[in-house]
Amino acid sequence: MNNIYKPFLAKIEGLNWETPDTKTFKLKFIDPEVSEKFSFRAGQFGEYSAFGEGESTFCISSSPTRTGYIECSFKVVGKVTSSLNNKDVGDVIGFRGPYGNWFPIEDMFDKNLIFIGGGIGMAPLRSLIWNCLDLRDKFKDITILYGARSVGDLCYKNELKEWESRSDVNFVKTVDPGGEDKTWNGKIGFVPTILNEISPLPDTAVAITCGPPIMIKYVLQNLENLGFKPNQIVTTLENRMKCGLGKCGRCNVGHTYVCIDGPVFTAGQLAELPDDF
Amino acid sequence: MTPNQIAKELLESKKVSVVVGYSNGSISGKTQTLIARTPEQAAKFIFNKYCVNNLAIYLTKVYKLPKPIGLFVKGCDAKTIVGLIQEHQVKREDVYIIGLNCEGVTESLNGELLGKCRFCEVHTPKLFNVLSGEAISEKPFDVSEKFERLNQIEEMPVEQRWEFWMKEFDKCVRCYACRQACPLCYCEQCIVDKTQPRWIESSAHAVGNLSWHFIRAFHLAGRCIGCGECERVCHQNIPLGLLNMKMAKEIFELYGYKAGVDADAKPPLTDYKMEDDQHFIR
Amino acid sequence: MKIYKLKTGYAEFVNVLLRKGKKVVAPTIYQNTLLFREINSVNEIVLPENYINTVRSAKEFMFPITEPVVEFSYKNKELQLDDYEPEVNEKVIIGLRPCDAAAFPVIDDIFNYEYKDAFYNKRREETILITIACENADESCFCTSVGIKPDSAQGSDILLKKNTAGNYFAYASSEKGERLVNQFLDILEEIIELVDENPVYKQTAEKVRTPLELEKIKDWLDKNFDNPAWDEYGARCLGCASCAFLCPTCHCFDIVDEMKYNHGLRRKNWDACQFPVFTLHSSGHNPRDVQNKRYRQRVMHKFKYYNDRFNKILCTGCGRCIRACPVNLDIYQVVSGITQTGVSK
Repeated sequence: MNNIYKPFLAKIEGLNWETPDTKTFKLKFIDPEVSEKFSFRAGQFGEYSAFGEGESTFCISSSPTRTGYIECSFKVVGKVTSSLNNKDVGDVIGFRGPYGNWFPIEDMFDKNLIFIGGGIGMAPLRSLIWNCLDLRDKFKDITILYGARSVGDLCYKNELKEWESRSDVNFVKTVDPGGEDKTWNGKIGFVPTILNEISPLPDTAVAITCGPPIMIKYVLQNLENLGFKPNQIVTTLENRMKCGLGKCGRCNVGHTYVCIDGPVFTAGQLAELPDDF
Repeated sequence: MTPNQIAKELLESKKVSVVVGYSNGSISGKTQTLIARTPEQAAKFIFNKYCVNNLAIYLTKVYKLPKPIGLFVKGCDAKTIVGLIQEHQVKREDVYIIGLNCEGVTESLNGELLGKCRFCEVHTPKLFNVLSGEAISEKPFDVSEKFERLNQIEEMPVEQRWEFWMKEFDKCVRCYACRQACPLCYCEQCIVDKTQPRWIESSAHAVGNLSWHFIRAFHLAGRCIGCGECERVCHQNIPLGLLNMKMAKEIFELYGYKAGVDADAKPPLTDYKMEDDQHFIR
Repeated sequence: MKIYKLKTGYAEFVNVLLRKGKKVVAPTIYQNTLLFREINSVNEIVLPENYINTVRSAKEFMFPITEPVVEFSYKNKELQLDDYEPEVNEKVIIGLRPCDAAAFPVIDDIFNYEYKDAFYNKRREETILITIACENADESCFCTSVGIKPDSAQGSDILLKKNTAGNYFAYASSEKGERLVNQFLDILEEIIELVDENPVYKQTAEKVRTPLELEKIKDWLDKNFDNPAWDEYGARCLGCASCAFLCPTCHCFDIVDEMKYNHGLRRKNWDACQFPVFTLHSSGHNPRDVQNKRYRQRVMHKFKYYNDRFNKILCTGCGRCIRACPVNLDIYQVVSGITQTGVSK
C-alpha cells in the first residue's frame, strides 16, 4: 500500500554540535534507490523519526545541489529531539518528506539577495544560501547577515568562516549585546539593528529572513522602512506540525496549512494571514 | 432576594468584577453559563432544577476572570470551593458566594433527579456570602442506599469486576471531558500531556484508557467531593463517579477524612499524622 | 438512482444480511450507551423508531479512534520498519442517519488532499453505508442548514425510506449500493418510482431548526477574526472536546509512537483543536493559548476555512455537539447570533 505515514530509513553519516543544544545530522538514505532518486527544493521540510519516541519537524538544511545526502539541524527541546540527540553516527532514523513549498529561487535570478538569519533560523536559510552559492553567477550581490544571542549560539561556525572569506559574499555577523567574547571581531547588536546599519537597497533585491518570531517582526518592519515591498521579502514560518500532509489539522493559520501552502511565505502573504501563529 | 437581584446589586456596587451564573439554555432541559459584567446583563440570570453545572470551574486560573468573582453556588458546588481554597487555587476573599437553596437538579425532562441529589446533605450551601431565599432543611435518606451502586461492584468477584470496568473503558474515546469539567483538575500540565517521560499513553486502547482513569482517580483521592460533573459530562456514560466514590471511601476508612468540609484542613495525601496506619511499611 | 421495494421489514433485512455472512454494524446498546457496534444477531439492534441518533458518529469506522499505521522493531539492534497492514474486511453499516452518511463525502476531500490516506480509503471502499431516513428530529437537529434533509441520500450507498403504508424502499445511490442490492435480489424488487412517499420526511424537515444563512455567516467570519465577541463565547467553553470527538466531520489527529521492549507501533489518534496543547510549540509559544481562540478556531474551521479550501461546510447538522456540550455552548446559536446582531468590524 502507498503508506503516506511510513518514513524512509536514513543512517546518520555524520553529526556536528553547532551549539550546546543544537546539532546537525548528515543523513544518507539506506535504500539505494531512494538515495539516488531523492530530490527536494530549498525551503522544504521533513518529519524526522526517532522510532519509539515520535516525529519532529525540521527543514532540510543542506542544499539540493548537493546530492547523495541531506542534512538537518535541530535544537533539543523535547522528547523526540532529546532522543535524536542521543543518537550516534551509524544509527538509523526515519525521514518523511520532502514536504511543503520552497523558496522561489527562480524569481531571485539576477537580483541582489539579502539573507537575514537569527539563531537556529539559519537552518532553512543555509539550504538556500548554498543553493545560490552553487549557482553563484545567476545572482547579483549576495549579503548574509547572521546573528545569535552569543558567540556560542552561532550555528554552522565553519561555514560562517567560509562565507566571510569569500569575495563574492558580503558577510556580516553579529551577537546580541553582552553575547560577545574576547576574540569576537563581528558586530554587536540585535539583528534588526545591524540590518539598519547595513541599510540594503531595495532595488532589484529580495530579502530572505528566518529566525525567532520577535526578530522576524522587527526585521520585516525595518525592511519595509528601507523601501522593500511586501513581495520582495520572503520568510519561512514555523508552526506546530504533525503530519506534514495537510490532514491532521494542527498547523492551520486561517485556511492556510503551513505544511502545504507554506512554510515559505512572502511578507505580503503573511500580512493576509490572521493572527493565529 | 432573588439571585438576579443579588447579582445586579453586586455589580452595581462594584463589590465584584463579574458574576458567573446560569441563564436559559438553547434546548429543553439545559442551561447555559452567563458571565455578567454589567448590572443589565444580570437580568438574564435564572435558577431552576436544570442548573446542573458546577460553576466553581470558572474560578480556576485558566479562565482568568477578574476578581472578585461573584458565583452562583449550590451546596455541592460550595464543597468544591472549599477544596480550591484548601489548595490555594483561590482566595476566600476573591470569591463572593451567592448561595442557592437547591432541592435537586436534573438533566432529564421527566424530572428524575441526578443520583447525587438523592443523598444530598447540603440543600443549603454551608459556605456563602449571601443566601438567596430561606434556608431549607435537609431531606432524610437511607445512607445504605448511597453506596448501593458501589457495593454492587464491590460484591462482584475480581474477574467480573475487571470485565465490567474493561467494558466501560472500551467506550472511552479520551476526550478528557471528565478532566476539563472537574474544578479540581486544574493542573497547568496534566500528567497525561507530559511526554518526558510519557507516563500515560494517549491512545484510546485498553491500557491507555485504564491508566488514564486510574491516575485521575488517584490524583483526586481525598480531594473529590462528588459533584458528579465528570460522570455527567461523559457522553459515553462511563460511571466515573464510582471510581471517585471508591477512593473517597478508602480515604475515609484510612484517615477519617471527608473532602469539602473544612477549608483549613489538609487533604490526607498532602499531609501526615502520627496516628496514620503504617502497618504496610516494612 | 434505482429504487427497490424491500419485501421484508427492517429487522428482517438485518437478519438476512447476517445470514448471508455479511459483517453488520448497527446501533446497539453497549454498556448503557447507544453506539454503532458490530452485531451478531438481529436481537442486538435498536430499531430506528427508537432513536434519533447514536452517541458517536460512524466516522470511527473509516477513521478509527486509534489506528496503527507503521510498525517497527529492533532485532539485534537492527531496525525493521513495516507498514501496519490493517485487517479491513467488507462491512455493512446499517441504521445510519443522513447526517452521518453525508459527512463522508465531506471528509473524503481532506483525507485525499495532496496525499491519499490509504488507511481511510481502504476502509471507505470496504464499507457499505445503509442509511435510514429520519422520521423524527429533536431540538438539536439542524441538517437543513447545511444542505441536507432528513431523507437525503448524500454519502449513502443505500437509503431506506418508507411509503405511506409503512413499507420500506431502498434507493441504491452508488455503485457499491447497486452491487449490494444485486446480492439480495430475493428480497429487493426494482420499481420505477416511489409515488406514495411517506409525508413524514417533509414533516421532519419542518421540525428541525430554521436553516442558517450560510452566506451571511461566511461573510461575517471572513471579516471578524479579531472581533471581541469571540471572548464572550470562548469564555464559557470548558475545552472538553466532546464536540470534536462526537462530530462526524471533525478529523484532526495526532501521531504518536508507542514502544514496548523491542517492538513499537506508530499510531494515528483522534485529537481536537479544543485541547490546550494542540498548538503548543516546543519553544513554549502557543498561538491559541486561551479557550476563546480555540473556540474561534472551531467555528472558523467548520463554517469558513474548510469552505475556502474545499467549497464544503465542515458540518452536517447532526446536533451531537449541542446535545453533548456540558455548558450548552450551541454552535447554531453562536453562528446565527452573529448574523442577527450584525456585528462587524
